[in-house]
Amino acid sequence: MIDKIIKLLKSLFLLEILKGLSITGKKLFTKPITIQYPEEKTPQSPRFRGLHALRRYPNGEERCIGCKLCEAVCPALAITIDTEMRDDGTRRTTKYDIDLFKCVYCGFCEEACPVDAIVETKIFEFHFESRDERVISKDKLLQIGDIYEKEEIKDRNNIN
Amino acid sequence: MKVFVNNKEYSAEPEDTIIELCDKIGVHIPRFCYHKHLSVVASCRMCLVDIEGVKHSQPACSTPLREDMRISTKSEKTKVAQKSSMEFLLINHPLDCPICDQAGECELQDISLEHGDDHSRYMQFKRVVIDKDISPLISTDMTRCIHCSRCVRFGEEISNVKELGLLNRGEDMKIDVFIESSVSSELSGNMIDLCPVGALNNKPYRYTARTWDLRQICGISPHDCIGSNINYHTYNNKIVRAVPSENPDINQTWLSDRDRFGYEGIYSEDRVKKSQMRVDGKLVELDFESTPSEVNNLINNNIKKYGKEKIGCLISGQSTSEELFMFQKIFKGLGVSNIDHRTKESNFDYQKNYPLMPSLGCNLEDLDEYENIILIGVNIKTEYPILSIRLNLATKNKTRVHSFNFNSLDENFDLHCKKIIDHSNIESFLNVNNIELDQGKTLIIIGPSVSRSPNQSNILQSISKFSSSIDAKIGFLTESCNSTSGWLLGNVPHRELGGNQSSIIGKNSYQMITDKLPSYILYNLEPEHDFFDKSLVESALESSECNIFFTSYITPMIEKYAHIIVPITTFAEADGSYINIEGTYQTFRPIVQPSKNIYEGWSILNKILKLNNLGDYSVANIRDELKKSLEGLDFNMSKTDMSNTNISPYIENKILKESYRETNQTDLIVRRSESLNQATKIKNKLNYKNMNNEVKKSYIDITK
Amino acid sequence: MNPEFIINEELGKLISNVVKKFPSDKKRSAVIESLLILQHHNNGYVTKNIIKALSDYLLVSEIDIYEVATFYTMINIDPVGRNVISVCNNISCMLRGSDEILSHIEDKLKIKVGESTKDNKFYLKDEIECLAACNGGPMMQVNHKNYENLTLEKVDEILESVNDK
Repeated sequence: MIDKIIKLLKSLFLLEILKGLSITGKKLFTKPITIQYPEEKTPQSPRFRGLHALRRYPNGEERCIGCKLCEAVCPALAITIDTEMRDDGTRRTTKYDIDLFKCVYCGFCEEACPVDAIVETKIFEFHFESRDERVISKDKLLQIGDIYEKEEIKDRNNIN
Repeated sequence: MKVFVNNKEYSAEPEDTIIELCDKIGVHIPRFCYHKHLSVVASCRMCLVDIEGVKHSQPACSTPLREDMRISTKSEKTKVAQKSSMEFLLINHPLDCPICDQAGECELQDISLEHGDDHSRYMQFKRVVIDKDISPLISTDMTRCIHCSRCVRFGEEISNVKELGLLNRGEDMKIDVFIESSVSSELSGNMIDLCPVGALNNKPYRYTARTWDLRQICGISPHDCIGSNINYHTYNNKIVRAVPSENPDINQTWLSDRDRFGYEGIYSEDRVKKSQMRVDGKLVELDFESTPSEVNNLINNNIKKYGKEKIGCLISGQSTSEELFMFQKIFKGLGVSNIDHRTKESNFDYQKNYPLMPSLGCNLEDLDEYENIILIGVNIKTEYPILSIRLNLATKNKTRVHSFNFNSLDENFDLHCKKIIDHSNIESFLNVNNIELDQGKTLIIIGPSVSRSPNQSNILQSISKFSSSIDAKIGFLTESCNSTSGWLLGNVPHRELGGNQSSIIGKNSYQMITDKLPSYILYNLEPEHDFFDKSLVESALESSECNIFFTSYITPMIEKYAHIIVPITTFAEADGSYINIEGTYQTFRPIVQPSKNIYEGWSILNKILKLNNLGDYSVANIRDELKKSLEGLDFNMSKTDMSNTNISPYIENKILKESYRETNQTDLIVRRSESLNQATKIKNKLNYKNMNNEVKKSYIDITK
Repeated sequence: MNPEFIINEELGKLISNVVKKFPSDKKRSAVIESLLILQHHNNGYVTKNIIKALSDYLLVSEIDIYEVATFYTMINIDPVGRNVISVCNNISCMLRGSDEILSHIEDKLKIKVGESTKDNKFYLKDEIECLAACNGGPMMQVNHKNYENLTLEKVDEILESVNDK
């Protein structure tokens, strides 16, 4: 009986709403967590695994030696590599394709690479205008690598 | 004898070593230098095992078994010994597995994973050996070498051409060739398989794929009549390399370079990609679907127009048994009896008394049972390299090998005597007083140079007479890999399927060409190289009106004289089977898929057969019928008797002076293998360099 | 290309004497001694053509002979000086001061052990073991002739007295 009366009083004086509004009121004056993407961005770990890139040595020589370990380790079978002997006798890739629809960004390729050639950069915002663009070729990967090399070195230093 | 391995009792042969017993019972012992076909050197120390009562671990490869021996391959002492050996082996081995072609099938990799330590205590500089270009077939990375000396022993014991040696000593030890020489033996590729690390590797395959990407499909060698078993490795529907498939009866664990690198020919630029037909003097492409009926119409029109006896049907002895079966089925069904596969021959008087099929007369493994082997008209080293291994072992086992050949080529095994014969004087050589025969069994092996001789029938007759006078067996080595099927399946003008005599005896290949028929049907043949005389063939094709070519490759002559060109598969792209020289029937599956507009050989023939209402077959059906027709045939060739043949006297004519072919010239696929051609070129150059001036002059033509 | 080397009658006699010491099917055993004979004949080193000639003579493969020639330090494959100096530096001679003798020769000829002088007159041999003249240490051999109880002056004298062939 008493419970019923208390319930009635509580609903009459809109206590629950006031309680709820008090939280709203409090949050009005605290710093908000949400950010204004794309103007604002969340911080990224140096280990963030985004779009792939192929790196070069400081002298401009591509690092990749075509050992195909990344292809072998890739759980999503996203990497396709063809190799041949370049004129100077070294083992090089003639084709290095990553299918970004298949890729699950697990980072195994990075880990498998014996020469730190394939890396996953911090780029996470990219789009395609047609389905064919999902496969990125060696040239493109090297281009991405060239652009983000400095950042990559910084990230690597941060990790260690 | 009673022996204990890991506390389990086994009975063993007293002459076995520990490693032989363990291999038999399936207990794995790591090893590098030991190989079952090579001598034991015990230099790698990887197979050390612990034996009860012996203080130190002993190498399993060189320790013989004794009664009640207690061996443990897994004890702590064994493990320590193996780990230490592994550490020593890895001291100088580079860590370049990511770019090493051997990675994934590397014995060092496997064993170091199993027995090695995960870190190295060695901090000093590693040894580096500068590479040399030793062969166009073998790539070297000698820094990786662990000095197991398998390749050196192979040269010394198996191929009997010692080209690699262990030079220097201690830290500077390296495997190398003699100054300014190279590895040029016809069996050199086996060193690639023998090398347990990536020091010797397959040069044409270098860096094209990784071992774990490859698919393995077993095939049979289409390049010689021994029928070696080959494992083809494919990557993206392309053959990238070939390795031997072990068959103790035929090729053991070996493979000749021709079989190993011959596959390159199927990727030649001049493959026919689409059927073509001549319309108004020009070749135009044909539909895939309409080709069989066009070909059929042409055949039937020609028969109607010129008559059955005016059609010449020639097929290569390299075709599969299925193709040979279908080919004769069609043309004998249509009443054409001018069928032949012996395109390299020019003298056919012998054919009536010829045995059912050419055969070696014994099994390959029984060759060492003969006290005397007389080779006539064959250079084993270049023409049947894989057989030279058997003969080499036989000569070491007290077999005397005599060689009578039209030229003075060397063999890579010891010859008791070597004589150069002429096309007309063989009889004077075949005399018991001339040949120092040992007591015991004798085998006479007749090679392809005899069949190419314009005096073949006479030679065969005198050999036959001679053999019966000394009670010897006669064996043959044939021109093509499937000549046996050619004979057995009735692809000769005078015999039917299964070897029965035909009622009508058609023209043989020589008559077909010299009689200048109005229509030829050439199957899998290259007019430029597959005939006894190129100019005769050219004039025959020129004067004929309608030629049908079933071919994998387009050549200038085919392009010029073909009325219709039908692209067919090579051995690698279709089901097939070969009968080797021992009479072993071996089938194989397609290794790669043919490209879209190329017909499987037997299936286009089947379509033509069907259009003529002569039957309808599948591969299984063909094979059933083959078996049925070959049942109960006597394969024993001991009764070869050709001494009663009527033979027209030998007339010296100008054709056919070429009795010897380079190892890379034997068939149309091998001729297109780039690596083999290059290897031969380099070999010729080297030979040329080492010759004195007089021989040089006569040699100039060959090197050009 | 160097002219072909021919094993002449005299050399053939020497080599066939060596071959006789071994069973007729074990001609490989004669390789070391034959190489030494040929090396002596050819100013202290063997060439590709000498190995080839010996290979034809003994019917042993070229690489087999080359293996032996590269294995033993007493057989030189690279050209060396005409006069061979071997300074013993085993224990007896070393105790009597062979190191000093050796470094003196090195300084005098301006070469290191294992090298030949620029004018190809001298070759200072590497890896010399005991030459069995310990009683007269320090000692050296010049052109296979022993010189014992060496002093620096004596060495100078000996080296100057060497007549070039």
